[in-house]
Amino acid sequence: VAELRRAFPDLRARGRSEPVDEVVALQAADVDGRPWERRNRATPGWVIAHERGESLGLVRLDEVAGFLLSVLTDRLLAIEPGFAHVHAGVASIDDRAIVVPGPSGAGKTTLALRLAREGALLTDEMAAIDRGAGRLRSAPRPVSLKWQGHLAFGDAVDASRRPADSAGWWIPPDELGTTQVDETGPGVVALTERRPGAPALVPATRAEALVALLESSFDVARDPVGVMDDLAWLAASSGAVRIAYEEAADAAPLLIDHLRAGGPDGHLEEMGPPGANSRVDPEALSVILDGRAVIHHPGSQAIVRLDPAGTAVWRSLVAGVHPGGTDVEFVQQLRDAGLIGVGGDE
Amino acid sequence: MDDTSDQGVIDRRRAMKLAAGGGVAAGAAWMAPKIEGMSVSPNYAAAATCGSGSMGQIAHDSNNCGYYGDTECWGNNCCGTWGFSGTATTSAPAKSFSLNGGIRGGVSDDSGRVDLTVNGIDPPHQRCVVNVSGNCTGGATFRGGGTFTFNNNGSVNDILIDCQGGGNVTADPDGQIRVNMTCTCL
Repeated sequence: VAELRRAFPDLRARGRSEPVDEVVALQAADVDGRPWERRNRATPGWVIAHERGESLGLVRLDEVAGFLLSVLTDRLLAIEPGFAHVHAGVASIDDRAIVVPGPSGAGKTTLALRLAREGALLTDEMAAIDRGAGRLRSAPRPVSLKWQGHLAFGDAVDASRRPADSAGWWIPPDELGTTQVDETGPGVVALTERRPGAPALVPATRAEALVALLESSFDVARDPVGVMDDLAWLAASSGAVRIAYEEAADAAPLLIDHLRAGGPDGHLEEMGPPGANSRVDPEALSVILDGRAVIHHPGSQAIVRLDPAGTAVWRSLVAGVHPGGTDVEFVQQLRDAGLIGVGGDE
Repeated sequence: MDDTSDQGVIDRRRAMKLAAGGGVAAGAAWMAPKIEGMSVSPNYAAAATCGSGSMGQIAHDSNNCGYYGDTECWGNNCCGTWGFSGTATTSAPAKSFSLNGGIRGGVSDDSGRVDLTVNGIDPPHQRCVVNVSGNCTGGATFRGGGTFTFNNNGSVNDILIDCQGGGNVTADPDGQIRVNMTCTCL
């Protein structure tokens, strides 16, 4: 209970969701020692989490925090169907985001926390894209710090509190030298690569950023059209950079300098529906960012990024105009990827 | 094009392999159109497309479950254990989950107890929900049971089942316990 009280000081979703409030109520009541019911006499240490009389789950005592956060994530995805959600660590510097998309274990938390020491943390796990308001949002939550990650924070982490048989533990951001905000504006999308040696930062295209966001989307399978629109907006409104680094502490200053150097927004060209004579598969979704097409085919789950010449061909194919002089092999590759129909006279 | 054909899927997968091996861009001439990158979008929302699997309901009847003399009695001949087992299989992808357990009770007990164990879950990709419910005859009221969600393989023991009230000197209430499980891909 003491660990719960410490780890969940303010678990809520900006007052915009009853389900999450129910989880908060469950947590708060648990601190009072009531609704978390231990019913397994044969295996002490398992807890059945109840929410208003309904069982939520069977979890080990040392997994309660993670379980509650998984419930929170599920609920947010369910109650925010109008937002695209990205698996990313996000720091807010001067009210602008540095978005670090990536899978679990990629180092999102460590880098986002290190960045947030110069500003604030939005999330180490999942950000919602509120395109209408032009903001990224997240519910305040403790961060998941893996064992190796704590080494980056030295004395800020009391290693003696690490759960005995867990790979990591949940820590409020303020114990790691930063604060948490629940929204920020777009800034830069950082594509990361871990490698030994000095950090190296190079510009990336916004099309590459959009691909990384699509690859890290929680809900692209549920709403391919809406998620494509939201992610394309974020990529177009952000800078894009690729950074290779070994230590998050070395990478953070480079990313912050890049963010502050700024730059104009990208040029986003929304692709209309395929033309009457189009050979493009009607299911293929595409946008053109700074002259490069990014195509997502929900059926095959293919994400394809074209160069400018390929984008010109794609634009013609969508419009139903014969591209003329097109590389036959290129068209065959598009067909193999399921993006254009079989039998077209491209 | 037939998007749903196996051939279409195979072609897309072949294109992915080509891209992964660098074959897509190889040999492209200067200014020739190119695919710069190919990848696959995630399937986090698999729960929306993965079929849930439910096992057939397991039911046990108890004679004289309520008052047996001045105590309650659950279990075979008011003693021992009723064992039960069942399997739930999801579709797309197909995966089987097992539920095993038993119902315990005795003449000196005031109520019955259900133990259950679920296996086959590969966390965090599946979840199984087991429901234990019941009803009673002879004017008695069933209490206990519950719904239990398993995010990992595990057991829950000592789930209380009880028929309260009802019955008389010549006719004790009977009870029926129902156990079912539904598993879902996440």
